[in-house]
Amino acid sequence: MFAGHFALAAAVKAKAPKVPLWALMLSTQLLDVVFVPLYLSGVETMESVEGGGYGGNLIHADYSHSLAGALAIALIAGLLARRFWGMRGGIVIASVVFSHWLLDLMVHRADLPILPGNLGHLPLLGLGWWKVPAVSIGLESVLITAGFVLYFRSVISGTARKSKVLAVTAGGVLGILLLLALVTDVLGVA
Amino acid sequence: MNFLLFLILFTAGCGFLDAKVDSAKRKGGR
Repeated sequence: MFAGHFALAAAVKAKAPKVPLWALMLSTQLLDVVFVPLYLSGVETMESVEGGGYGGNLIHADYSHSLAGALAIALIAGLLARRFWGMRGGIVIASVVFSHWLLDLMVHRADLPILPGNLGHLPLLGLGWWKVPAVSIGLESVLITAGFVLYFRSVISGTARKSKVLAVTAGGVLGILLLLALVTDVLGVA
Repeated sequence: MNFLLFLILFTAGCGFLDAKVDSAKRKGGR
């Protein structure tokens, strides 16, 4: 899932207009941004299951996607954001960062550890909606529809006639990208 | 690769357009 994460950020922008969209977009994917160098260095790994493709991976992101790790990353991002956008902005950013873990909890197979490095070998978490792609695609579709509608309405409202084209363009581009993100993810376009 | 491409498109592309809209609203375009 990544379209769903971006969609959630778009929806949050509609409700927290003082926080820039770029910061919300980066925040919603921050756990995966941390995952990339860890994956490239071999610290965190992925293995294909059931032929791979959309949702067909067991993701061993034992640090970036552990519950404690996600909370720590959210806290650090929130404290940093507070310096720029105040207390409310900091809380918004921290919440958006952690929302990634909550959405992943729904779709991941049981591969999310509670503590970094799966310390103590506690039970791994994940509701596994990816096992039934129709369910996870349905969840992402709801998210991108809600994200697009909320964002489009907020970007249009309060915009002068001379800026309407710009506002419609911003909302339209975001909607198209959300749809493209979901379609390419489902089709496994790399 | 797909992830990084969309990350750039959403943060830089949509972020830029959104900042332009915010700026237009602030300039009294209401």
